Amino acid sequence: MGVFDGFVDALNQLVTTSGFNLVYWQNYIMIAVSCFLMYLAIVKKFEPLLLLPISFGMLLANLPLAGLMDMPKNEMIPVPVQELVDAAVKAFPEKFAHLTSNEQILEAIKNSLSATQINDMLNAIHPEDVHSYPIIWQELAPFWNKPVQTGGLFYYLYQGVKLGIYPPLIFLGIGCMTDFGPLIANPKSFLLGAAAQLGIFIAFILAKVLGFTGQEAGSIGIIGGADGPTAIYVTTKLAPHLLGPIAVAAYSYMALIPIIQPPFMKLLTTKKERSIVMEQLRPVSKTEKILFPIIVTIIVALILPSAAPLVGMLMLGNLFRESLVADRLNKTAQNELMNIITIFLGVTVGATANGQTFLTWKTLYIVGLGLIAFMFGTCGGLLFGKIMCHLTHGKVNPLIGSAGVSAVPMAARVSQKVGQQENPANFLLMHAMGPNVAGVIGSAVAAGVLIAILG
Amino acid sequence: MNPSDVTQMVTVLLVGLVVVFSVLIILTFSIWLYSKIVRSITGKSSSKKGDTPQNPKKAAAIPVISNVVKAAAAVEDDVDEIMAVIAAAVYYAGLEDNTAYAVKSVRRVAAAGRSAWAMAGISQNINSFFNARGRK
Repeated sequence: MGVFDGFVDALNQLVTTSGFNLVYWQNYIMIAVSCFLMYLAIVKKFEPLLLLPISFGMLLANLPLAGLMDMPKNEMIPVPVQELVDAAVKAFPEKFAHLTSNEQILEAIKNSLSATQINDMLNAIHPEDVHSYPIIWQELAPFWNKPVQTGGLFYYLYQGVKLGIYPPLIFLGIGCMTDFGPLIANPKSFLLGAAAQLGIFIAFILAKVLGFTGQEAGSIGIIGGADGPTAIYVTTKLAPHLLGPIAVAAYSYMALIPIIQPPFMKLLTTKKERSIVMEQLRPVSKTEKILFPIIVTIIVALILPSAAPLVGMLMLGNLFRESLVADRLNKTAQNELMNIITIFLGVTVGATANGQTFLTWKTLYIVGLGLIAFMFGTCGGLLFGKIMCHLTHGKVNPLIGSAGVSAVPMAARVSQKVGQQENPANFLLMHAMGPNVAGVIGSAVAAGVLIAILG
Repeated sequence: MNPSDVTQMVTVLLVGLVVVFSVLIILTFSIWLYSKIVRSITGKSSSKKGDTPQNPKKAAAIPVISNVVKAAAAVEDDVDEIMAVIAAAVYYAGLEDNTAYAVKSVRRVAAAGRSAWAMAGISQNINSFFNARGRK
């Protein structure tokens, strides 16, 4: 019986310490969701460069005991106050000998001595117990801040998201990859990029009606900008606790743009409008392309400084590309750097989607509001495209308006495909790229507005 | 809903739309303006050069157009050859799935005002956008 009991006990212990015992039902659902996202990325090829790291980060975050997102743990050890006072008076009589009470001496130590000086004095008294930890003062009580456990890998990688470092770096890479030529050739496209931001503000209002705070509503609204890095940037500034659902919703809807947009494009335009063949764009000179990022940066940063990190990095990348004198930087920013940041951003954003915090009614609302934001953004661009079509006496195909929601270059591809369904010889892609890249700038400006008002 | 919530909603909506449109209108105007300046400067500098023709665009266009017309005419003369190429391509495509295809008719599909050459050029230019995946 002894052997049998031992066997059962060992099995019991294995079961109680295994991961299965620590997984909640929400984690199982999130594991299933992450596997479904991986299926979409690998089999259906839906934005695999983003969905794959996001879904795998999600998977890891919902497996127990991995501790990848764990914060570092510190222990606060009280510093012996009397010994510190005595040592300070002895070491620096000219500074502390004239002070009468311990409180006065501690106040003077706090204001005039560094942690290294304090540690050196105390280590001289207790050479057997050497401390070199940072000192944290709580009022006049000093504590050693001793690290007990380092944080998980994703915790440190996540700092790039939390501190708003990755999104502007991604924008640097996007700037290197983007040709603003179609926008420079037809600057009126900027207006379509502005109109397509309508979804952001409609979703903001609906989120407020549903009871979200102003900052949360702003973060939810920015999903309508159809721009992952912008959505992440705004959310980290306004409502970091909603980062997981907002990032997942934003990237999922961007991948689903070919499904979301066409019904609205067909609903809001006539067959005649969809068949409009636009005039070929004029060629844009190199000088115009080089001046573009400089002028846009100056104007946007002066009018809306809060949009400067995103727009500035986007334009710096574009200047690398167009100047032709920084080829190595251009290649690095749009390849290696962008890929590295995409991996870090993807896995850490995915890792924020922990079952217990992700599976709430708020997440469902966010997913629904994100879809509404995309729909209204598409409609805003299309309706403004119709206005431009009317004003130009049928020279503008309204389908290019839907590309103003950003999501480069998927939204422009959708305009091209829907236009070509009506007229196989119609090539709207380059015309749609104008509002498409204008949408990137437009959503960054809208992000700046939200941060300035709600931040 | 609190009156302050309603105020915030209206403020964000109005300020947001007004600022986004204003910034992008200013950018539209700025780009239009500097493009005009750059083009006028580069236009002047090119017209100052003695060896360039008075109307370079027109002068350059004439031989190009005539070349295209000649090439297109030459292609028209070789319809049988084009038919053979199309039939060969269809036969080759059929080899992959072990199916026999027959070409019953060949009809030219071209946009009004755009030649097959122009369409081929446009297709070549935009292909990269359809091949590129997941930029953001």
